[in-house]
Amino acid sequence: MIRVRIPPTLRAEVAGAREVEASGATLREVLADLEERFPALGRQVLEDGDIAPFVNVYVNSEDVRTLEGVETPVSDGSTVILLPAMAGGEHELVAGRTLLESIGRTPLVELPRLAPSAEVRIFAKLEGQNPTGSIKDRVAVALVDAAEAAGELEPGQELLEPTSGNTGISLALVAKLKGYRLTCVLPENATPERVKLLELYGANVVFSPGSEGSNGAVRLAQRLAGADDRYVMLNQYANDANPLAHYDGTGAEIAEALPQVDAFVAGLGTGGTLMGAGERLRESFPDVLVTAAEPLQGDLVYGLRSLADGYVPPILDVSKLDRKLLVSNEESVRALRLLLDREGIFAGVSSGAVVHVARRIAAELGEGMVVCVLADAGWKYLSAPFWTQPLQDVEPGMEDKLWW
Amino acid sequence: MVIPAGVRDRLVEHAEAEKPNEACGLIALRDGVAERYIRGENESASPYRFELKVDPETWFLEDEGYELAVFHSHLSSPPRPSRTDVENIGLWEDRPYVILALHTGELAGWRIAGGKIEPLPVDAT
Repeated sequence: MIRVRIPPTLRAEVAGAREVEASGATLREVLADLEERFPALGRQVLEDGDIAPFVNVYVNSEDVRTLEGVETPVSDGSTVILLPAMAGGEHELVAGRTLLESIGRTPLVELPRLAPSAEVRIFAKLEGQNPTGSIKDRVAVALVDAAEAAGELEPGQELLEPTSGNTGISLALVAKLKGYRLTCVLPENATPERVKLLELYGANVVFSPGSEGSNGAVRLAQRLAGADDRYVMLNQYANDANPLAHYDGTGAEIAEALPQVDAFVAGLGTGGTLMGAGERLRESFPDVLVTAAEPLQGDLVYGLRSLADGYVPPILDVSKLDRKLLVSNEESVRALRLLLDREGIFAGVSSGAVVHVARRIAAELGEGMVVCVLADAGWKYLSAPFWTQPLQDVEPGMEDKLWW
Repeated sequence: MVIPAGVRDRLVEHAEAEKPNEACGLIALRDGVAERYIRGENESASPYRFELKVDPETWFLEDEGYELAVFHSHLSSPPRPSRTDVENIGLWEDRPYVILALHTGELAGWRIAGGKIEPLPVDAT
């Protein structure tokens, strides 16, 4: 016979007995035997033929989740222990946090109307719901915290950052609340919403030539920093605090929210999201396909960058990308409009590229779960004509301006 | 329920040690007074979730005259059961449930039954 120990919490179901006997060659048979003789116990312990979620079962001091679950073999003389399984967790949204503490823990929503079939599910992490409306809030607070902790940033110093816009706006918020001044270097053809937002948040704006794209902004910022000691350049492209923010934040949040992730899709900008969240997801789901959405070579990228254009951010290790898919402006805008039309999500241009790639990967996989990161919301692109113009007119209209 | 300073210190130490993740364990009470804290392992290793793992024998301390309280820490929210806590109460319905809000040091006791949360006052002496 098999000895089954009953915890105090379940004794009411077995007339107060501390242990009962049962028979069977596997745990499944033992539990079925118990269910037959003690129906009330069966209702607590079994659910759809498996161990109920609020119960842990040990066989001879081993948790059966580390053995073969209900198929774990048992034999005469074995001891089965039934135990309460306790789980819980903190409120994810609470009042009383400061604005900086409220960064992250963004919603992860399913996009059922954009999935190619019912067998493959696409989820989107809505980073536009961070305080300044983009994923860069996570990075900005991590960069400043790391610099403060390392003693590299002291009162009176001034932050300087080349930025495609979102990082600047996030840094402007963090700098304001922590009491630093900030100068942002950005290409002169940035959207007016971004420039205005930077100025409203209190940043000093310096323009670099629009024709040189993001790389031109980096070069000008390096020149300025080299010429003046008071500037501290946190440089999100080369700062490990950037991927770390996504390892601890973006990636961990996704890993906790889903039981399985088969593919992870994010835009290729600094590489921070893909490296950090990709690494964290690989720890939980070793077979996950870490996939970059990359703009076509030559496109003037805003937020995303084409590696073929020559600059590889130091934090980006291309060998850690399982897939890299190129996306045109037109494909991005088409997906961006679909996202708004079908799912009601108003996102930024790079999210269009990411959703385009997520749908392609989902179609290739045929089944499973695909997670994509929507880096920002659409508000900063409202001045763009592409929301409403005919798709065939989109590409020429985007060539002379930086939208991503 | 009485949680004397000595036991309370153990709870805070464990919560501090597990930071930034939630800590969890079992408090053994006799006649409503906490005598000791048994550290558990948070199998979720997460700032927002806990999954309690302890030596199975700990759950049978009640056969030695103890009453058990399930304990876990919150990192930044008040020491009130979250929706996740209530949904996962399972077999611990109507039993002592203790939460420490690490950022404020506030310790609070509860009973959760039928989806409802009832306070269970916690005193130091």
